[in-house]
Amino acid sequence: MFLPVTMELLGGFWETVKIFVLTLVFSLPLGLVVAFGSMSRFRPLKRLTQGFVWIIRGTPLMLQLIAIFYGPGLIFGVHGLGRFEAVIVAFTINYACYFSEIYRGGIESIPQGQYEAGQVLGMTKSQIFFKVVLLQVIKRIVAPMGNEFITLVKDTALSRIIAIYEIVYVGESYIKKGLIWPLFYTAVFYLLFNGILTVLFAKLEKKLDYFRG
Amino acid sequence: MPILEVKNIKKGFGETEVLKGVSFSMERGQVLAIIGSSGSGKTTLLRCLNFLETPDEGEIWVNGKLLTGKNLSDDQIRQNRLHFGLVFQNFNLFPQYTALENVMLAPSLLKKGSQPEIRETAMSLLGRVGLSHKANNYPYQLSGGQQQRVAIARALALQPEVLCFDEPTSALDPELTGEVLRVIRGLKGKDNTMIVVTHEMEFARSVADEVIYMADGIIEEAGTPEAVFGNPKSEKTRNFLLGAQKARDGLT
Repeated sequence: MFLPVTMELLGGFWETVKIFVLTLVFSLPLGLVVAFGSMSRFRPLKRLTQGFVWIIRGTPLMLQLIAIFYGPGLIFGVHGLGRFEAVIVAFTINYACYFSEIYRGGIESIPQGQYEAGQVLGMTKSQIFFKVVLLQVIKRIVAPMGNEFITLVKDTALSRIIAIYEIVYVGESYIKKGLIWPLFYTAVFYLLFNGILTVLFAKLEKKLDYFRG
Repeated sequence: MPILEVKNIKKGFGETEVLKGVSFSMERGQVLAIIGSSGSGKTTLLRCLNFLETPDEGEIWVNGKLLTGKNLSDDQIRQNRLHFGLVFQNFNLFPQYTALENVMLAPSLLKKGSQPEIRETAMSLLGRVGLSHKANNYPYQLSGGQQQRVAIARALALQPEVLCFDEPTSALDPELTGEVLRVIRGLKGKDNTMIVVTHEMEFARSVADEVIYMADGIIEEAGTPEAVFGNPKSEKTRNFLLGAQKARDGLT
């Protein structure tokens, strides 16, 4: 029984990993855009972005999933996104908002002198950001980003609310067949995956240890 | 033709008027020391010259070219900045780069030559500030004095027409100020036009060709070091110099 259950759970875990990877691919850059919006000197854009972040961080991700999947049909009577696409969109928006706040904190913690040093050396704004500020920001946000990554791995389980057959859903389906242990066995998959993530983040932290500041 | 001409610069922040009309000019190779108490506008003046602040009024001319104007584009401001170099009180080295990389970064981005050429120039500049042996060290591995010397090499790498120093030794332990002042003194020559905002009166007196004493946003007194230090005309200057003298002798 053990091997077929493992294989079936692995299938579910593949969905989990797909959501995890795709969410990061889209939300990591989008978060930077949102961060710049919330730091904008153009007031209306700043307020709009802050309001958006407030709504996304202030409501449950599960509710956002439901809204994005069922919303278009309920409100406009149109056929919206597919299940998986809806999951990626909801997760991307949600995580981009959380990332944006981490980025913002990191960017605002860089001393003004670093920007000014770049300016008096004739660098452009984007050169200052990419050549001077970015790596310092990354170093400062590694720890909170590690937290978010690990949370994301577990949040993927929420996608079962719109019937994505991810690992917890698979594990739970065994209950109907009279097996309880597969549900708890799913924890092993999460632990292994998050263990790997933890090691990778520790490595990244060590790699950025060569400078201070 | 003067290399730098500053005409009637005014700058306020909200209600406070920090610069109330400052004018002076410099010839190539001159060293100008600006002294004055905190809040007199010395730093703001340097920041205006480096276009980190936009003057409300006034003109800045370099080599007969007017740099100031209304509604300058980001790129014009960036170009203007290249006429000046600035060494900060707090060094502001880039922590993720070695000493050598700090010096090489801006010339590389501005494509001031091939990578080997830029490296060679940077190494010779580090040699000039006595830090060839620290080229591959990161800022945190250097003392404050060494960091400031790297910052000087970094500013020199772009060959600015006027190199400005904003209290270059104020953030240093007393025993480290000497090495930085020696480097600045060593730069004096026909090619380096320098403005040094400083609290080191002896240094100002011995290195500068011209001294400006600023108070309350204006130039209270200007002249040769002999005139300003030896025979100050204004009451304010006399009091300031007396205070500085007392502070150094530990009498305050």
